[in-house]
Amino acid sequence: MVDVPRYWYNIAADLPVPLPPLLDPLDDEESRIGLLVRILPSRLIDEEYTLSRLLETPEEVREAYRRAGRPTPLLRAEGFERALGVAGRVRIYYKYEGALPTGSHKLNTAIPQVYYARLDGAAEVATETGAGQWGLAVSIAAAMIGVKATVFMTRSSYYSKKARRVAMETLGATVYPSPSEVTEAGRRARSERPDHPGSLGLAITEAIEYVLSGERRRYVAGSVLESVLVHQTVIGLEALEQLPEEPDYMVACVGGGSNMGGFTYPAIGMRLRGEGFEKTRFIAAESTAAPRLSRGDYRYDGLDTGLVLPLARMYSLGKDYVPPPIHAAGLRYHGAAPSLSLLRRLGIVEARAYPQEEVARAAVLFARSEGIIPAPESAHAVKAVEEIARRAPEGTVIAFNLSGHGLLDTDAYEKLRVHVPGF
Amino acid sequence: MGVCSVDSGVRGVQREAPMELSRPGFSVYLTAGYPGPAEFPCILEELSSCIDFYEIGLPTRRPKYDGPTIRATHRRVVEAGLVGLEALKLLEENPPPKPFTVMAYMEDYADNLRGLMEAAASAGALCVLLPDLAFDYPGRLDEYTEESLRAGMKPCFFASSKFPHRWLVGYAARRPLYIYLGLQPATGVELPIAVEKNVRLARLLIGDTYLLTGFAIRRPETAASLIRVGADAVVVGSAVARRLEEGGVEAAKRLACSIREAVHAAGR
Repeated sequence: MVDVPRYWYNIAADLPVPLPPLLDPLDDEESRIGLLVRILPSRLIDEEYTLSRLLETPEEVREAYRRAGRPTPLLRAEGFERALGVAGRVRIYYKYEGALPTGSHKLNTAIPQVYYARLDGAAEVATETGAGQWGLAVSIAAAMIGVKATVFMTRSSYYSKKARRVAMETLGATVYPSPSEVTEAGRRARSERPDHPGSLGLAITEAIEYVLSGERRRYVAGSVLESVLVHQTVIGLEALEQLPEEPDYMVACVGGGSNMGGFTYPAIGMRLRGEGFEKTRFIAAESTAAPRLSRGDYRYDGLDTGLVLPLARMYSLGKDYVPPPIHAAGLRYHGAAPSLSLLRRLGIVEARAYPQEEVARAAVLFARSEGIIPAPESAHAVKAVEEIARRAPEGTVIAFNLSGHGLLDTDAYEKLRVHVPGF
Repeated sequence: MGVCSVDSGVRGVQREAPMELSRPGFSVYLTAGYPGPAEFPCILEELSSCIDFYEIGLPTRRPKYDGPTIRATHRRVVEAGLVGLEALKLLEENPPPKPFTVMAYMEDYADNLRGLMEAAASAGALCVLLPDLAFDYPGRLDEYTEESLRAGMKPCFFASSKFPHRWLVGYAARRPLYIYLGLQPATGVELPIAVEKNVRLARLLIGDTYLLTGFAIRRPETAASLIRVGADAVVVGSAVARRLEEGGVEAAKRLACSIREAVHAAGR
């Protein structure tokens, strides 16, 4: 019986080369890095800057993980194998994070971050969200832990993802469409572009501005920060215990990188330490609407549009890039986590980008063969698995992270049905 | 600026460079030529009774890992017309009265690493610390080590608080003068990081290699605590620069003396 792991895994301790640090813009009189102490929960900062390979998961967090349903199951996708025509030739496994009450992996870091915020005496947490998975996770964690949540939701999603917005509000959160009228950054963006669909980079800036403008508030980060990826390794650590065989491929979708990092880093770490997974290929599936790992530049860039946060060396499409409003709103981020970017740079992680129409077809095939409707973001991983499986030689083993279900994304499926034969 | 008003001249004494640093040790970081080329040698001398060795930064237009205080010192010196290797001439003309190491950014010398090493060795430096070497030029570690030895210096290496273990072990295998562990993400910027835990772990990984710790150390008790958990030495930069700005060299000296005393008491 697999239990909730006692530790998270920090891949920085095993990377082949050191992770480039966050930097302050050189012409600043003040330090953006120094500002983090007013923005982030203290313990999150400590986890961001640790030499330790393993970070102990607080018992309160482990218990909350258990209450939320961890460990999540690792399932064999036998129906999908048959639907793809690869049954008996290719074995496909998936870790199902949609089994959590938020319907996605995001709860894995929402719980510790909100817990840490409360340890700091915070009465409120604020954050950004795209499709609403992260905002919903923060809303649930805040309700469980007893603090208020305020969420800046990208404007396009605020109107299209009504179910998640209502769910957040039901849990007690206040949800603003971003760009909003609540912050200076939001008002400026709206005045420059009245029909601005929002972006995660801008929503982050708004959430941080909101935190800095009030008392007893902390910002909680949905992705990109290394400590967030560390929390998400609970997925991969469980998977290592659950996988009956070492996969040839490990696949996950990428927005900021927390789902990909969380699922693959424990295995990548074993490879880097010479303990296994030598033959495994690690595939990051992203959207052609925001192909930062496929087409971005590896450079220092802003983590957020407003440059409130420090600069990070990462694959980026540019902090001002506003991706088109696709249905996988959680992938509409301009950059990828520094460690994931470095692993991509070193060739340890590969990236593939897919248009949403192809992704939708793969998602429907998966839904009809496995009985689970994937979240539009997670469906990018499904598409990558389909592509790999159809071309794979006999005996190939594929494992992927189904990071969330799409039961609150039926609006997306309704709009995409025209692209799916026989819908 | 405060007390240090000596106009010019050689303030230091000629000394023979040691091959090892004292344990425990206390160092002050100063940007070469700060606050001005004339005052700098005097400040070195004034502080010499309160330190074991200096870390002297070559002024640069891109002090990328530095916090606002040290960035401002670089800006001031560069605006005064002193930049890069020119600053080493200042040290040759005014030999510091205590051993010193040089800090520079590899980015500025990527096309002239040998020139940097030769100039630093000629000025009497024990080593040249390049904090961006591991992050931005990881493939040039061997070259850096060879050039250090060729110039008659030992290498010295920088590590952050988020660093691969095998790199720390590899650093130690190169028998450096020291490994510098940056406790915080930028100089002078203090975040709530369990720095003592990181020092303990670094010590486990590098054996008895000299471990220098720095970034945002400003109190004697912090410095003493770092020595007690396994650091060999601490270096203070931003806090000293702030004292120089606000209270002059006597204030900076008082701070340096109090920290050195705490470091040596903790190391007994």
